[in-house]
Amino acid sequence: MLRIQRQGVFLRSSRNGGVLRVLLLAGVLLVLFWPALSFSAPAITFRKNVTLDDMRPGDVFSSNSAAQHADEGYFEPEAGWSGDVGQDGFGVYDLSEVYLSLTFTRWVNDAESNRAWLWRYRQQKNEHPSRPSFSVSFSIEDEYGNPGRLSHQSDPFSWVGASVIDDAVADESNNRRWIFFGSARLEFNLGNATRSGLYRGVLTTTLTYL
Amino acid sequence: MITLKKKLGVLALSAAMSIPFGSSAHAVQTSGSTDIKVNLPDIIILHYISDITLNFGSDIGQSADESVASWTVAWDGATSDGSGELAVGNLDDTTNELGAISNIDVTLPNVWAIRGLSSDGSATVAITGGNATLANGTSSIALSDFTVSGSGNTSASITADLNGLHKTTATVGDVNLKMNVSAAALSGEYDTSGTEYTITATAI
Repeated sequence: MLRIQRQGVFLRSSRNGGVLRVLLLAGVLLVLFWPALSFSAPAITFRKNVTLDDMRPGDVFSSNSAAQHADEGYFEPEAGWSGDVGQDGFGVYDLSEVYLSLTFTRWVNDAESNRAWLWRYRQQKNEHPSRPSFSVSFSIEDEYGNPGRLSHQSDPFSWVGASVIDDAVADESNNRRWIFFGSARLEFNLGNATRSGLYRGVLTTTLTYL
Repeated sequence: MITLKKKLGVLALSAAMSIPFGSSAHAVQTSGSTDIKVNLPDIIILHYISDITLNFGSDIGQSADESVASWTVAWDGATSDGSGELAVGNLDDTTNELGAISNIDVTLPNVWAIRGLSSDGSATVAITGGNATLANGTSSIALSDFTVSGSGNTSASITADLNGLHKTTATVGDVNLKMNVSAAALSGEYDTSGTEYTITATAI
């Protein structure tokens, strides 16, 4: 009761002093609950677009030539005098494979146009003294909503399978801030591609952090 | 009237109420989208057979019954008279007659294949061979009119589907040609050295 009376007197006596008292109260609360306030949100940025290095024939063939050929050997069929040849030269399953693999990979920071990190995490160390812990997950879909693929710019039936097979985090923190850059390695499967040209899709990156 | 000090008081109290007690952290998720683009080049794989030998049957013995003829023969054997003598113009056909020794249309099935990537998914396939001759001494066989067949087209130059890189979806095609055997008098192997056709596939 006495305290209240004193407070009342104090408030009545000086308007500025009242403001000061409220600020002091806020300061006390800030100090008391500092551990909880220290989990302020980091600044996380995602790259808007990445144009990867062009696929090269050498990614899937033993040479970098776009014109590959395979000598399928000899053919000695019996022929009739009417010109009929009753035997095929080869069937598709007899053909040489020629390619070494139908897949190739690219790191997003291989991109020539914008040597790109995929995401960036920044946070003041005085806001978060301990090293941040986080995990990263990825998903990919084409413009038609098909998961795990990029589709050709003009033919939705021509697509490449796409998945993230690896990722990397670079720590470039300094005395004041935690700074991390993230990158991803994508694998593309050419088994359903029939056209040359540009393939597009959206890579969604999810950071989970404490 | 709400004074500044009351506002600040309410603000401080609200801040205190909104802060969770204790320091137990919980996981937070943040997602972002990135447009990904990658460019694929034109690629063509051509499969071909480098050595073709056509075996026209085995040794064939054909006979033709040229019907009945009668002759009057003198006892001294010096003269004869009658009809039915054989002449080039009245011989009967045999079972495997080559007729007027016209061109034989030959189709070599499934002797080339293409696959790959192009801007519209197809390629031009062309064959060149000119007029080739297979020789066996003074005997010869002339080859002409080379064409290719594939994806429903037949010509010296056609458009065919590439269907991607996988070999099981390749477009497989034929080679067609004409053989003229009118100058072939000998059996045996007709030399193929220096005689060839060339198939060229080009991305469109």
